[in-house]
Amino acid sequence: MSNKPVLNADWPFYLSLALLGGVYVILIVAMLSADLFFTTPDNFLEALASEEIQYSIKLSLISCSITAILSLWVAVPLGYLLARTDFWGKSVVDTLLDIPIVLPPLVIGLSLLILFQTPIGRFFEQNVMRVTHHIPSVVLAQFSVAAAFAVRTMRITFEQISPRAEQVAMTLGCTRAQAFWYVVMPEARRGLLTAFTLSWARSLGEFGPILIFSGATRLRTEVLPTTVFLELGVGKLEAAIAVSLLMIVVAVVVLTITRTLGLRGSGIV
Amino acid sequence: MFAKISPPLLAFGGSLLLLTGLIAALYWSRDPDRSQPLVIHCAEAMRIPMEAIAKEYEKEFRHKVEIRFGPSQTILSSLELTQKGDLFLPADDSYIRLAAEKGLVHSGDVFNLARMDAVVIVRPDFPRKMETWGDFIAKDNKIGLANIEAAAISKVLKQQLQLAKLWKSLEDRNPTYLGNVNEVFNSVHNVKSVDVGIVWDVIAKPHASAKVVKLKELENVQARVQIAIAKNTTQRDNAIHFIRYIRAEDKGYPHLARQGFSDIEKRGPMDERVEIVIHAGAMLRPALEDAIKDFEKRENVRVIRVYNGCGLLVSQMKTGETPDVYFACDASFMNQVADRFDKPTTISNNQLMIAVKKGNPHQVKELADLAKSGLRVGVGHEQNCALGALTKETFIAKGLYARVAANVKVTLPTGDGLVNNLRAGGLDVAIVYRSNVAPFDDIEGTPIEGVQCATALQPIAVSKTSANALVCQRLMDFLRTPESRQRFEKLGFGWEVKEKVEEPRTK
Repeated sequence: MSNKPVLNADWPFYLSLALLGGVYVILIVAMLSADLFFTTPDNFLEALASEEIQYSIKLSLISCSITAILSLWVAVPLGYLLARTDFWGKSVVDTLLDIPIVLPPLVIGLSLLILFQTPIGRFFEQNVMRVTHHIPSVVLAQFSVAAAFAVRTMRITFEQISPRAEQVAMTLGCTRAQAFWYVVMPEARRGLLTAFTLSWARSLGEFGPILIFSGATRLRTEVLPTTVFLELGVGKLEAAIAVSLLMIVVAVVVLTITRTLGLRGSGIV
Repeated sequence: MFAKISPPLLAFGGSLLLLTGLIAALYWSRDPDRSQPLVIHCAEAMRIPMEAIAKEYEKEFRHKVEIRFGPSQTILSSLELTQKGDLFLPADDSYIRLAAEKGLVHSGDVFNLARMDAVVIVRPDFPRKMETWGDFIAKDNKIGLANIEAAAISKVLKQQLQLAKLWKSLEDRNPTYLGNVNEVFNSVHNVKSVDVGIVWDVIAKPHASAKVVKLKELENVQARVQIAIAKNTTQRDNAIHFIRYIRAEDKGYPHLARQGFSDIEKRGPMDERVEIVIHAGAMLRPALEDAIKDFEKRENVRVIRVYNGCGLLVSQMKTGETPDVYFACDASFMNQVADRFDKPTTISNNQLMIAVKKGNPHQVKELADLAKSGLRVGVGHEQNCALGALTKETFIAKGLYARVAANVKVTLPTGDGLVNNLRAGGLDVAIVYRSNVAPFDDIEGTPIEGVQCATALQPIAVSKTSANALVCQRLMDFLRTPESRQRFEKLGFGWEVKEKVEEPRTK
């Protein structure tokens, strides 16, 4: 059956869907337009020229990428285990993995801060690496939240992949691991891309835990959301909006590139 | 080529390589400077002047300054949790008090910076007049205020308006409560979602187009901006140096003035070094030395100390050599030169003791025992020091002067000298101050009770002709802080200062 809408018979149906969904799209467009018209190109260029904001862009891009990769590292095994296996304590683990999603971000930041003041945390900082208020804390704060979304995505992805192909592969002599890598993972690539982009985007917008755990130190732990907060904090609304738009541009560019690369060969791109 | 590599290797290896590249990119262009930065927990309201000051300071002294911004309560919590940082600069002094209560800062390490005043901010296209309190709380106005629980301005506003019985009239207007004072400003001036609001003057000042109105009802709504040295700092000297930089008239002061702060604690140019002279009784040396060294660093002054018996010091003064500050061992000596000084302040007291070697080998328990035959007694010089003068008066009061005089083998102008003699075995007993006995384990002392003149009071005063009276006054006030009290009491002095003293203001 063709997916193309049949205009004559189905148009009321599609129109009502478009109207309902379109409200939200229009809201987003309206917000972006309001921001766009509030600031000026001069504000935008001034923001781009600032050394602190250039550093903030660099730190945001790199930390989000690191976070997204690390999120996949944990999301793939966790997602597969939750989708395919039954183990003791599975429901507890499942619930625990939802906590970073439901907790207010400030609580995450506070919890991380407290964690690194415990004897174990202090030992780690003194003997392995300085974390609190340093760059690693930015990645850790982002990862704490973004990984939860990645795990969810990968679980759903693996659940949607029929286990049959895996089982067939194993009957043909593959080990479970081989079946996973050669059969399941190729099928999961769109899910991987979604998990990557979701955790990347989530990291970019992360602010609360970073403010508490990493601080807002210029040229050290300042990321783009922190810049918006600091500019707002001194009444520089135009500069805050300019940086917000900068964030949107950066996010759109990165997500578009990622999606394009991911969808290459699928017939869509 | 990639088809021949196993997928797990490709996945892990590839992502590991990518991670390594990203981390390298992150740290590539970072400043290789490894020196420990000066860390300041700073309220976001202070961001503009502090960033400018820090930048100049880094350039001039090549010492990195790392400023961690946030709302005052957040930075206080961060300091409390991490116990790391060198300076704490909240938007208002109530957080300094909180920090002192939590043991994060010493009350003696707090420095005044400036003051902020509350003003009304009006929407740019506001159609009606805004001149009086009545105009502000008019029925048609949408009023914006900062959160009462979290923002200092609203806390102080409520307090002052309640005192003036105006709070209810404002509350009845159902003002809109926003997160913080910057949000109030944004909402009124930029976004225009409210008509009027109350903000600090320094928030509005940098915006030339902001419509600001000062109302007399808000005259007492003020915040004192203070900076404190964190108790756990590992760079105390650097922290003090930076504070001096903020307050120097040629360095930080212009930035604070430009931002619109009032009552700024201005000090002289950064490089200027004032010199003052203090004459102090010899017994005060242990209590004063550390405090004066600290004061010198805080204020960038050089304090020339002259310690001696008060009789000798007074004689010097009578020949014309008046110091900037005189800290006497006893009020009787201050009285002799009272005409040269402003009204003195009594800081401490010190009691006379009968000091003997540990174990009291000669069983000297009271003053009358000093008349025992064969005892070697040491006392202070009657003319040259307060110790000697008070000892004489004490013996006379007890009717023992002549009997003890026969046993007096040594008279010295300082109690330290007598104690040294006693410890070395040259004396059997010495009449000295409690503070002379306290530091030593090999001697013990019996206080002389029941004789008023056996307790000396130590007053301090500033010379009427001092060219640096303000600095001297600050030294005096510095010696009256709780930290100073601890030093004095630890050494055996009693404390006479009744009121709690914070860092003094110049105005």
